[in-house]
Amino acid sequence: MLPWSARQLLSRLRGPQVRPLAIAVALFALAAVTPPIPLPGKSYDHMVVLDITQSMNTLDYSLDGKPADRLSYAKHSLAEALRSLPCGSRIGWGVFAEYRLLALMTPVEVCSNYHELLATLSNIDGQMSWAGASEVSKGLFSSIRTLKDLEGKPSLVFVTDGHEAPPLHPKIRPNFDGEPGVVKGLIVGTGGSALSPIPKFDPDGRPLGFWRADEVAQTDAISRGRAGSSGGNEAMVDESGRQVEQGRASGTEHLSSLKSPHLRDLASQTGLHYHTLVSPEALATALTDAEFARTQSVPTRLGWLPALLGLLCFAWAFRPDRFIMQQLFAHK
Amino acid sequence: MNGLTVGLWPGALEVGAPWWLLLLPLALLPLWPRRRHALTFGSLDWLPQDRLGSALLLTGRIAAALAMLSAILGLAGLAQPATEVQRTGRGAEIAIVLDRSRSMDEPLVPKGRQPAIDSSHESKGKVARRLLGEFAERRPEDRYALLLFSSAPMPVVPFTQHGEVVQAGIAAGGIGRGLSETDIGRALLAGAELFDRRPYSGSRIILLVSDGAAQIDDAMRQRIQRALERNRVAVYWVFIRSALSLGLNANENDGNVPEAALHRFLQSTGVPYQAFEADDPEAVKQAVAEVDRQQNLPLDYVERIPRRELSAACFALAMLAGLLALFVRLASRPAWKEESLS
Repeated sequence: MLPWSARQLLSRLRGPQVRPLAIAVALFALAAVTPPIPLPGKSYDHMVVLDITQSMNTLDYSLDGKPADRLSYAKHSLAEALRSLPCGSRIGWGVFAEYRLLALMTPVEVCSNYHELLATLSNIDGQMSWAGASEVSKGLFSSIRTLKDLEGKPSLVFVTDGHEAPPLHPKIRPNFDGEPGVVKGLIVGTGGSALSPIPKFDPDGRPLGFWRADEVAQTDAISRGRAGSSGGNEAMVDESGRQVEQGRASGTEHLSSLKSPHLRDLASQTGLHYHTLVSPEALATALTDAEFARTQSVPTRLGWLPALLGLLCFAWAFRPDRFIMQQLFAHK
Repeated sequence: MNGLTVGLWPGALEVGAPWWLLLLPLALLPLWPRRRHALTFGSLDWLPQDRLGSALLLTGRIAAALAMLSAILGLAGLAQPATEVQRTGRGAEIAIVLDRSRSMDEPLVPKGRQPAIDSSHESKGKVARRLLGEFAERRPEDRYALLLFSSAPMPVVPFTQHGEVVQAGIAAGGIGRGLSETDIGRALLAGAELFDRRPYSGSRIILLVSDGAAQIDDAMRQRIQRALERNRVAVYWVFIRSALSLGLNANENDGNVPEAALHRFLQSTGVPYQAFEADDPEAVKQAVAEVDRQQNLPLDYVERIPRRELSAACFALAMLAGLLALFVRLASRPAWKEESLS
């Protein structure tokens, strides 16, 4: 025969010593069986486009105490920033050169493809480039046009130093003909504020020193006028028929710095944000701006709530009493 | 991916939310000596020691501590991290070398039809991408790498079994127009070099998908041949024929037919080589099926076992241990004072 009667046990169940434990056990059971519940959560969908033109090889960042080029630093920062994106977010990669975007990978989910995303990012370098020109404005505008029609409408993260090659005429510039803000996104300006020489590489990636002043176009096509052609020294005219000023060579196009006013201007034309790349943390914050967030249902675990309550019940049931305190202080 | 993960047992256990572990001292509470317990059987010295009773009480206290410990581990997000297991299956390592030149944007027109008259066909690139996508989906055990090329080879996805990523790379080929130039020689070399410094673990294939070719100079031919031999790579060329192309078997007397020249060069390399001349979408499908049929050699591959959350199991253990503690409390006689009060 059992030493306890059922009635006795039931009456004890309601006792102050036992009740917290009974409640806790029920709460633990609840915690164990609560399935992940879809709740609205934030996620981000970015198509990251990296400028891979030669000015991105300029060494004006430092990484682990060593000089780092803009592209490497941008890649490093992006790799770090990926970690701060919540699961369910998606990232795709593209590169910019000449005047256009070349998509390498459409956006994929970050958590399950993290290593592949990093491996693909690390493959991106200047050797992929298919042309020497770097028409940033046109590249940005065409990227926006391309993304507008893309499935899932990712936001654009355009990483560039804003260095236009050939240079733009100070007044006559490509215009954005799309609707600002249709594609959301961020221009990430890379580079330092001081002019630095641009390393030169051959198509196989072997270094060839630095670009020299006479090796690059120092003036834009419009300012050069028709020199050399049959028109001789005839100046070009703008849309209203006024003569365009000629020969405003700045002579520093072989050097490069971050053209942030130009990029800010492009950002305001296209309705994008502008962010100067200074650290992976700041980039992560910029990438998770509320404007880019989309709400989607994310399976959320709620088991922790009853489990925590159950734990507190146990802690209450075994809370230190006066006896413990006496013991503790008696030994002092 | 938020926050930091701390490995508890390197490679075997980790917690996703380590801050919860600060609650661990709470789990010691039940083990502390208590007045209640002292009183239960401490007042009458001359009674024989109740061994069973003390063992029961000790069990209850340990069970309670265990319940709290498992609840805290569950809160901290105990998990088995993603691991990789070596397995041997059937399949191949396939480097997809995909032409991204502008001519791939043109429609793929069946033989004998005039492209100018008939514009209702899918572009060559789209057909190739769709079939490659289906191919990669159908053979999940294979490992794929993806390399795009135009004037320069662009390695996109290194060898991976993550089908989703390969599909995303293939799909990205459909965004925007193609590039203007085609340097198939450098692309082939880069494709063969993808296998460099990889342990040989099964059949290796370059799946070249292109609609044309360019002349390759002798130096480059030698480099390509050496790289193919060194890495023991078979080449499968899915040649998507342009409407006006003379085809791979054009006679040398027909003049400059770069695709025929490349075909002869690849035949002469000595590595397994097969060309599939695809005149229409159906033929491309057959070509892919042929690769599918021929390449099923044993392949060592790594199977990824995804991360397993153990929180629910922890809470279940907490419940069981808690049940035991509860039972002990029910079974043991509480301190006389409390019993009389309740």
